[in-house]
Amino acid sequence: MSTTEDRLRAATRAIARTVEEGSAPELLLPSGHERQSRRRSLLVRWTAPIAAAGAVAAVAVIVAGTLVVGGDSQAPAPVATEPGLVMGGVPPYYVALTLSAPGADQGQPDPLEAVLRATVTGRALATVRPPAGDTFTAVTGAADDQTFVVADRKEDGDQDFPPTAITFYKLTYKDGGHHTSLSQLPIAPEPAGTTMTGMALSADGTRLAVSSTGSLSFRQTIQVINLQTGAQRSWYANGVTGPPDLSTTMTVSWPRGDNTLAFDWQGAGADWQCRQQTEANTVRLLNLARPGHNLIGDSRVVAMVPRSAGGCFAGYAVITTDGKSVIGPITVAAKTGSALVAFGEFSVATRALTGIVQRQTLESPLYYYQYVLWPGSTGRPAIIQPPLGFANGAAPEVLHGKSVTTLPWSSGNVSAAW
Amino acid sequence: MTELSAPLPASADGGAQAAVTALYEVHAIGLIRLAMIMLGDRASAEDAVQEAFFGLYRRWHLLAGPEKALPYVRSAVLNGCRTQLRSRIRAGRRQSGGLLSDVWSPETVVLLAEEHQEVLAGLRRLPPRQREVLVLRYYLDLPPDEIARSMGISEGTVKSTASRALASLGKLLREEEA
Repeated sequence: MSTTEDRLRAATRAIARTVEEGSAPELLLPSGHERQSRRRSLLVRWTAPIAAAGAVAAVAVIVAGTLVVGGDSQAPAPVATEPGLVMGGVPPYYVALTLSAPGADQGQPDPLEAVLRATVTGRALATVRPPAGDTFTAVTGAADDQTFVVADRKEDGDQDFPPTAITFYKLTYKDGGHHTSLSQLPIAPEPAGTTMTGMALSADGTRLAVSSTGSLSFRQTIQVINLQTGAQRSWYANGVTGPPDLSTTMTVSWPRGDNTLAFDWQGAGADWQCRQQTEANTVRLLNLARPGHNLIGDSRVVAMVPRSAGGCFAGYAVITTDGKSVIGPITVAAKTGSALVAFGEFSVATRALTGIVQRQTLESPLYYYQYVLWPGSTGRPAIIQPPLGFANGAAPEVLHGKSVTTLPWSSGNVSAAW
Repeated sequence: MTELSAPLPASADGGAQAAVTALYEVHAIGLIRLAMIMLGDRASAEDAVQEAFFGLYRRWHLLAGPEKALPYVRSAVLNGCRTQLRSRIRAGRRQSGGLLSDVWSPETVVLLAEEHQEVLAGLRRLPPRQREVLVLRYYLDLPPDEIARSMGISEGTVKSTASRALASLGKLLREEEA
């Protein structure tokens, strides 16, 4: 029998052989002041952080416990009041988690910072850095567009798995980023060894929902934490709910003013090839008023992709703020080498697919996982991440009916919340 | 493997651009293969290598000597791979087809025998540092001291990390076969 070393040598050489001799692309180096690339994002990733670093200067420290807070050295005007800068129905600001200096220094961690940006212009208004040695890992926003929660954990490459503990900070902005504060929330951290798969702040900013998967147990959990009292309640899916590879994921979203919480569910029995319709690949609505702790028993299906449309969510679906609809990416048709993907709208009342928007064919469907970044209300604009993903240079898009508007975007951003 | 140990070009005195381009011509394929093992898809691997050489070009005047160029660019490729993997994780980007397809493109998976797929899937489940040590040790056949320089860690850490990583990978493979 081959040893592990032998198998490792054979496997790595096998994948290396898929790269043929003489097939390296031309090296692209800048010529004078002109920096062109057939992969524009390649150079943008170098130049954008440098430009940003030159523009940012620390300007404000607001409250006790506040960390380093920076803002645009050009005094930022309140964006919402600037003429022409408000896009109908879309919040004027968002918080992006941005790589501080991607690849700039060997061996150095590249923590994610939280950057407040104007939605319409993409302009950076304030930058908040995590505590030294930490990185922000996720962000979520309340409906007031001023209150956000960021998840934070130790940045240690050797501890990526199992994950280190996660703590939560409240991040608030006022006056278009002129006043910024960051303070640790007095709630229990997510323990080490838990993979957080989703996080959502309620519309009024008083409750935080966190979905997670045990790194060893693979048990899926949703917690709802009252940010005013610290009270915490959990719901569980029993036992092993999917293949032991963490691919079973959940994200959470809140309808406004309702005691329910939506989550996407890819549980045991999900057909990973999307060949059939199944309740294991759905969006469910958890009734928080019920006394139990059973994630499935206390919830009901509110969106299900019909078999005729592929039978599968191709990414994370969320409930609209009015609680009437679910918006989510679906694979309309897939075959080797290409996929037809779209965003579908579902009726919560009937759980049926009621409309398809932004349909497109992807020739290389390796990364066609999509996200709804901000759902809005039924029939109103929504903000989505397109299939290629931020790491491939894609920018968020505002969908409104058949209209698609691409937002300005910094290539260092890896996620965002409105 | 010898593909990353070819002699450096002697054209460093011809300017940074010429020297970096010459270095790229000699070592690009080997480094793309290294990044391919770490990242799993060709485009990302090429990006990591391009970025590394671009970084080398920008810092050429800071190099202590041309013999430092290859270790530098190899470290930069690994760092770029690390950054890309972290970005993927942070972005929460996953496919629904299982761990292997999280990273490896369908075209790549098709080309690999099942036994190799199992090993690479196991490799992907290891922490980044353990994965890097194993790839440098068992793909590039680098000695511990060179791995230590490439990764910016001590030689002792290389040895202990390799030992733990190999044990973990063996366990994962046995579980897969059980």
